[in-house]
Amino acid sequence: MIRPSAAKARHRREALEGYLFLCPALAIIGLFYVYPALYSLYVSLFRWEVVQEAFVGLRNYAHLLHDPGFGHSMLLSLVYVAGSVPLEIAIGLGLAILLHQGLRARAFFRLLYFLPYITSQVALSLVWGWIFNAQYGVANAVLGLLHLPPQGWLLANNGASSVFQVASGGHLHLPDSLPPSLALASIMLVSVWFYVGFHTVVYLSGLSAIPTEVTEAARIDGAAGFNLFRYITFPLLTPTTYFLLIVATIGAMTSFNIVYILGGGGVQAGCGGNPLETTKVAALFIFDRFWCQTELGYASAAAFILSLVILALTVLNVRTVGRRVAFAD
Amino acid sequence: MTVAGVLMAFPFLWMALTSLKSESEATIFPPRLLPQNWLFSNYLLAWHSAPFARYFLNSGIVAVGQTVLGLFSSALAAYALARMRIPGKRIIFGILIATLMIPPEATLIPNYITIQRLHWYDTYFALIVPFGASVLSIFLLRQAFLQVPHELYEAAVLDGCSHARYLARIVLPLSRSALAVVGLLTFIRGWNDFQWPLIVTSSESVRPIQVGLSIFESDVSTQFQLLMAGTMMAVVPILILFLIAQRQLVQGISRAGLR
Amino acid sequence: MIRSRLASLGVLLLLAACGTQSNAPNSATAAPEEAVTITFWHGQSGVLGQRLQTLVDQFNSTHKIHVNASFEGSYTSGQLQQKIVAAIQAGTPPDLAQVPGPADAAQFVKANAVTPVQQFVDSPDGFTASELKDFYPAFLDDNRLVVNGKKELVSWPLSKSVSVLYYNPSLVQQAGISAPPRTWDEFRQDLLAVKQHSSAVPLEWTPDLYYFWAAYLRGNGGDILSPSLDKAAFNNDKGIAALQYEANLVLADKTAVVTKGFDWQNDFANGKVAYSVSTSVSLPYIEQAMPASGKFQIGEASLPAGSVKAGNTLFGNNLLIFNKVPQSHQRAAWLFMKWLTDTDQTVAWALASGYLPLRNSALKSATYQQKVAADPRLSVPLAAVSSGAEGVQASPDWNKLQPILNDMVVAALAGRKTPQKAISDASDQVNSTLSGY
Repeated sequence: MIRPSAAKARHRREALEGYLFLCPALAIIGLFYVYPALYSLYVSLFRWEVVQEAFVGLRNYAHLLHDPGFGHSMLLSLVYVAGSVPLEIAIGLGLAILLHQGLRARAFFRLLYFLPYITSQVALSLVWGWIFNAQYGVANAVLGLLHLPPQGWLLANNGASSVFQVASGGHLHLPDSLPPSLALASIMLVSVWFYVGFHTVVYLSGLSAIPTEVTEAARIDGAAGFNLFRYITFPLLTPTTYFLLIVATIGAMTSFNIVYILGGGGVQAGCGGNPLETTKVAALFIFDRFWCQTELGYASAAAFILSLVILALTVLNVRTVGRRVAFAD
Repeated sequence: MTVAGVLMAFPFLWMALTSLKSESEATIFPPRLLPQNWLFSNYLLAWHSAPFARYFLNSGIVAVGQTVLGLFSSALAAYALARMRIPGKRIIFGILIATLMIPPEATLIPNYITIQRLHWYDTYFALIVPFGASVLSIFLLRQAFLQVPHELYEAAVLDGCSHARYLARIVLPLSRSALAVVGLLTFIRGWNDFQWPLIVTSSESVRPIQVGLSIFESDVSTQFQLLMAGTMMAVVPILILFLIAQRQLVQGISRAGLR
Repeated sequence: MIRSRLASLGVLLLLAACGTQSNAPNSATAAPEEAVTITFWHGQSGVLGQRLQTLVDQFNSTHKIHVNASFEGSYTSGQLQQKIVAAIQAGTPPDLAQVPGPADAAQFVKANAVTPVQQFVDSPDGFTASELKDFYPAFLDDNRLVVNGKKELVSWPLSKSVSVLYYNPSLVQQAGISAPPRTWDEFRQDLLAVKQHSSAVPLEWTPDLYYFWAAYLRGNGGDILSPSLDKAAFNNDKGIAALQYEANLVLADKTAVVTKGFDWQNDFANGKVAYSVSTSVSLPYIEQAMPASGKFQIGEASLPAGSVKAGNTLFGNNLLIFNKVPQSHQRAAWLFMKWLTDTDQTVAWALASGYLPLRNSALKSATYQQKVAADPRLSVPLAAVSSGAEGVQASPDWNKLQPILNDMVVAALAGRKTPQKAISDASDQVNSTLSGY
């Protein structure tokens, strides 16, 4: 019969065309992401310091699982993600909605929120280091104005929970060793500050994709304010939220620059920034093992385990949030 | 709004004011907000400390290159994944998502080796090509392309339109907002990148600004006021770009309404 | 220019050959320079980078060899090491590079990526034993490693500095102190005196590097690793006493404040701090950070001495030649290194960078003597070098041990662990790291 074979030929042509379309992107991603991942996996199976030595199979992985430093750094990374990502996304959404409603000087505010994201993280992290300086930083000055005791901020290994304790006048009591420490919490705050603009912009793009007829129709039906948001806007934004959640989680798990500059002792402290015990997130651990202690095999194994954890988190995101997403297709 | 605005802007404001201070003022205690003398000369000093004109040019070439290449490859791939029937689409999806989870540390050395083997070390190719495709861009654009109603495609097919033509003539113009966002984000990433350019370049003729700014830090101290001045200068082109792209975003919004 | 250099080299060699030194270079005269282009990766950014480049340009204009020097990332924060390690992986290392210290050199030696400079020192292009004596022994020792059972020079010094004690003369005088402390006990008393007599912070520094602890330890005859570099050697009275001293200052006496990075510099420059401990190179930077209205002459003194000597650790950086590059490049790299540390150049680099001159002849040169006469503080670090500064022990695993030692100090100073516990924990960790896989 002619019809089915014609359809099949058309499908084959479409498939070929499809592959052609995918070629440039897949070639680059294949060469610069997939190949390195496989290479890294290969390296992780060897005792590999500066040069390749003996094949050790899974021994690097076994060592890592027993390495308290690694476990601790993974825990800190998870705390970092849990503390900063939801906050970033929520604030980003809030700002996007406010901006979308057509305020005066909207363009100005849009620019303002986006400024941190587009400026060099190195320079701004140094500024934040200032703000949080225990001796002469603005943060302690503000605390002084509020008649609160100065904190060590980025040097403070004591738990952030102690701040709540102080703020509540000593009534709220949480264990001091509970992560995050004040230092890590300060860094998380800076991280949120940096990335809120990104979420705002992406949400704005998502908001603009909602056809106005939909919101108009809802308004005519009497929905307004929070109800409009809850039943119309937010559900239609779930693909964006879903996307941002995944991207932000991955970004926070591998976050390096900010933690490196703020979490450490600064340049004078030597290779790897010499971070405090309570700010040694996974990315810093891996950097240290790669370049300071130069154990490429061990570090590659650590990186692979980090990837697996990120995968697990992503799957978690897909399973929980993903179910509620209203996809266009 | 204003509270949020102030909180967002304060460090930036501090950075701007510090760039106008003298060296000792920049690190004085207790910190003063305003400089005693507004040393606009710091900017001149910073500019002349290194071949910043060249660095700007390099950053521009690299960022533009990444954006153009990125939009090209990502749009094609996004469209293919959105609208075309391709066997093994799920597998490709899976691989793409998987690459998102690879920590950058793991890819640094192999990519360096690849660059050396391709003889791209210390060239613009090394700076542009590895970032010429991004899974994030592909996914963002795919989402946007999916918003273009399928009926339009069916109508186009009846008119004898090929995928390529449909993409170029219909889908892309309707997705301006998303393209602007992706382009802007790619440009920013390329402009602000520090680690990779440091690794794959040696000569001043190819170095971008972010690496050039490290001239204000040495192993014994940091010249904060000059570093801030340099950073401010580096932000200006992106600000301009953002202001231009904002119009695209707004147009995108109104277009969605007109439909 | 080149001819006169060869001539003087020839004369030196002739004189050397006539001597009875046991490691005189081969009687053959040095071959003439070949015109090659070599790559030199360094980690000097900023002003120091520019001054280094000036020297490089000077070399290029007077020699057939052309050196392409480039800043490849800061060497104190690991960026330069990153590039070198990546380059070794790719098989494309530079011809020579700057490395922080013997520990990094040891790593690369262990990875079989380095050509020890000893062979060049022993060659006609090198030095006689008497010429070698012109260099401060501590600086050369800092570059010696055991390779194939023999201790030899693997890298070559470029920039060297030591820790010094900075003080604010007026604050110190106010407390009734007339001279810098000579022993650690005196220092402790001085700090208490400052606390009594003023509201200034007696000691403020960033001690999360273990150097302060090591200075006390070594000053009392202790050491960090055993001579065979395979065991920790500080889990004893000496190690604990050294850590207890620091902890006392911070926790008991409350005369010392811990800061992050360079923060102490700002406070010191603003006249709020009486003493600080840091590398001798910091001086001009602290001076730069002083406000216009509050400038003062910073005092500089050697670190206090222990019962054996004034312990101190050498900082700075050295130069390495990689072995995967052509022989002609290696030789050219050596000739460049040699030139760079010739008397005139080491004086120039010392004055430009604040690092120390590497040889006696440099110290005795008119230019340097003039500077010393104008600013006697310049002689303080050199005195420290002669009286007991040593490099870190060159174990290839040193970079793994450093964080352990840092954490040990931080934990003790924060009061989280007693010095005994901190020392014993660190010692266990060091031993398990050294015993390897």
